[in-house]
Amino acid sequence: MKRELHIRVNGDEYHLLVETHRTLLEVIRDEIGLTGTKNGCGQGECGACTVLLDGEPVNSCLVLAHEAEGHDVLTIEGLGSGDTLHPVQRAFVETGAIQCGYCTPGMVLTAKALLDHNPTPTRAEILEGLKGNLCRCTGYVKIVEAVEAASCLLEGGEIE
Amino acid sequence: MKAFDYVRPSTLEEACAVLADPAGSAKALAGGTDVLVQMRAAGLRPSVVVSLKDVPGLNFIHADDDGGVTIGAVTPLGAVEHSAVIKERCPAVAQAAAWVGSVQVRNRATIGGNLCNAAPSADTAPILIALGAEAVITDGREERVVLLEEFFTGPGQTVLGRGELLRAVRVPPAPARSFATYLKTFRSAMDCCTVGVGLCATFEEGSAAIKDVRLALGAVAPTPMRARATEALLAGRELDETTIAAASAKAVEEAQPIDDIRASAAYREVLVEVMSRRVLTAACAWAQNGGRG
Repeated sequence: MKRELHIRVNGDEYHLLVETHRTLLEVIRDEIGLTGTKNGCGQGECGACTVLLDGEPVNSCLVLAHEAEGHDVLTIEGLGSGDTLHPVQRAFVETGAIQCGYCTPGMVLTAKALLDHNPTPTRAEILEGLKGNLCRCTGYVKIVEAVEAASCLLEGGEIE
Repeated sequence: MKAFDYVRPSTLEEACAVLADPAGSAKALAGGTDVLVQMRAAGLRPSVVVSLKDVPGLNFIHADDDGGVTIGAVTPLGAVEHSAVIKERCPAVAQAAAWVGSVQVRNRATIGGNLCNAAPSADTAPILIALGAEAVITDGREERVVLLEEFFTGPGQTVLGRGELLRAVRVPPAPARSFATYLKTFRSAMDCCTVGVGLCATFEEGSAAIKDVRLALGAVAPTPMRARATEALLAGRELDETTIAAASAKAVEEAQPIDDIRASAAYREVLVEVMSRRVLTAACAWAQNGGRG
């Protein structure tokens, strides 16, 4: 069964005809063609599919596309502007918080939402905030450092 | 995921009518963090998914006049976790909500979904049972109210009949001189609880003598359960080390844990003892401190 779907992704309006059992993740990747959002576990454990729905992180693999009807979606492609990286992206790059990169889009978006709510999180708050994003490469140390660096950048400072 | 019909009713009556259709196998969809996983991996194959997204009056946190709180069934756990009203009136519920999954999960998962999914390990159940919460159930026309401790009938099973929905959860006002807390153990981030313990203890004025107590255990029986024999042992007693030890041992007797992927039954029994002791010790310290901290 197909049904009309209206969603805004990275500021662009989309009017699509989408099967009702498709997830938001599938629509973002396969219909809209934005493949920065990754498919990981498909069970809401790993966070690779994280997007921001009305500014808040969700697992797009556990959201039916039609449940996002009328809402705003931000994917990793919409975070920076052109060649300019968002401070969280810059912090991840400059800190070396990326290895294979598969978890990175989700990790960056969750970190962005965390910093939106709490601009200067403690280490414990960063770990708690990123609990739903698994990384099998870095051991998380660099990722936590990147979030701290991003916090510093967003507060007007520079990365040491 | 296999294909299914999807409807998005705009009234409660309409939603219940679809769920009541005897010809179909309709499934209500709130946040989807359990339902979608079950549809993808656990063989759940509803003929129609009934989205509650556009049904008004299900997503709210209301400060009741009597000092209690009513929480709409489709209220996300993240909203419960951060609600000023809940943090003030029943902070242990906010704590339990905060322990479910990740930020991403809590932004979608709802309190009603956590309860209706009826996992024995559901994090919000033990503390809500300990607080004497009620489930407000509707069939779209009339409502009925059941105590939450009577809401669960088995793993994944509740008293909800065909065509019924959980509309809200009502938490009664906390009695004077009462202490409530929820504690859980889990192996690592994102894990379900291996044992959860919810406690609400009311003390006599100016002492550590227990006037009334409810102790609820999660993940140690087919449903979240009240430890009634433990409560009976505690009633009227001064909460001291000896009583706490006896009560914790009684809680182990009452629990009926099983071996599963998260823990063995034997290990869960140890956890029931340890965690019961911890929540009761915290209550004792609170009472001895004149009902503070």
